[in-house]
Parts: sequence; C-alpha cells; structure tokens
Amino acid sequence: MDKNLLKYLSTAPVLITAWMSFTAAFIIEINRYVPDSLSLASY
Amino acid sequence: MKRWFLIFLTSLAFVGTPNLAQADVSGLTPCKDSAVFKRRLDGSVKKLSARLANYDEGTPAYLALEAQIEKTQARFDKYGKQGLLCGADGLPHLIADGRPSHAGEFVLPGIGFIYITGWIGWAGRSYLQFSKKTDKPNENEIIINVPVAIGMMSGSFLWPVAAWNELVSGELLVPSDEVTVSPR
Repeated sequence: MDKNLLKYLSTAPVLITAWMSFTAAFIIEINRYVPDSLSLASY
Repeated sequence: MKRWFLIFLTSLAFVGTPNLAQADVSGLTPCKDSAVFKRRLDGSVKKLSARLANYDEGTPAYLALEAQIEKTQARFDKYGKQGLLCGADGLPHLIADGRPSHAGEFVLPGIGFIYITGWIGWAGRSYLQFSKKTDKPNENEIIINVPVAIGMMSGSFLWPVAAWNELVSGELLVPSDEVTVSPR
C-alpha cells in the first residue's frame, strides 16, 4: 500500500472514526446477544 | 388484685404487638413478588399484542412485534430471577451499598468500569511516553504510529499490575516541585 495513504489513515481523525465505529458496533452486538442487562447477577 | 391486673396488662403488651410487614432492603420487595411489577409486564405485553391485530400473520412487522413481546417477557423474567428489588412504582431499584447479595448491581459493574477505563488510560499514557522519546513527538501525537499503539493497547490489559509496580519503584509519581503550574 502507498506509504502516504497509510500515513493518512494513521491520522487522528481517521483513527478515531474507525475506532469509535468499532466500539459502537461492539456494544450494539453485545446488546443483541445479551439485551436489557440491568445487573451482572447470575440466576 | 392490683398485681394481677398489672401482670395481665404486661402480658397484653407481648401478645398484642403488631407484626412488621416482611420487607427487604430499604422497604423494597423482590420484583418477582411485586404485583405492580407484574402489572407493568402485563400492560406492556397487552399494548404490543393489541398492535399485532393490525398485521397479517407472518409479515415482517408481525414477526418483529412477536419478537418484541418475547423480549419483553424475557426481560421481566430475567429481572425477577436475578433477585432485583422493586419499589412501590413496580420498577427495579439497584442496591449500591456494597452488600454481596446485590454485588452484580453496582460493585461488579463498578470494578469492570474502573478496569476498562484504566486499560484505556494506561494505553494512552504508554503511547505518550513512547512519543516523547521519538524525534517528532508532536507529529506522533497527531499521526499515530499504529503498530506501536496497538502493541500498547494489547499490553495494557495487565495495567493494575504494571501501575502497582511503577508505584512501588517510584516511576509512577513525581515530586510536587516538578509539576508545572500556570504563572502566579
């Protein structure tokens, strides 16, 4: 890959967009499989 | 005669005491025994079921509503089984005083929160310390060295141990006179 392209992709705005998208998707998927978790108690 | 009367009155005090209503922490009742909680469940399911009549069986909207009803019933069932306590409003109240029987409501999420934020902070601190040693520290803060950053992020999962070791060896803290302050 072009070195300048990699450098652009490493800039703070691009990385924060990518990372926050990943974090949001992660939290959304957790809520898809374990919804409505009010407490961490087991039963 | 007076003595017998006094003995009779005293014994009445023990026989006639009112029974206290059985309540859990802070006067709350377990949600699975709460009538208002059950009423909230029935109300929600009734509202969703009423909307089912607007659609034909098997259509996406119908199936989505059915899934919503199942999800609602599963949620109320879960809260009941987890031992959450409900107030007069029929809503779960979390007990945050640290007692082990309600640890999952505040203590465990709290520990999880501190661990995750510590992980993030330790990774950020490690990267900043690395960046200051490069020959272009300001550039490395706006154009991140991704391989190094990923290395710091993966390694920071043991941050409590690393932080303790640094505290003990004296690397974590500096004396007050080395901390810069604004001009006075």
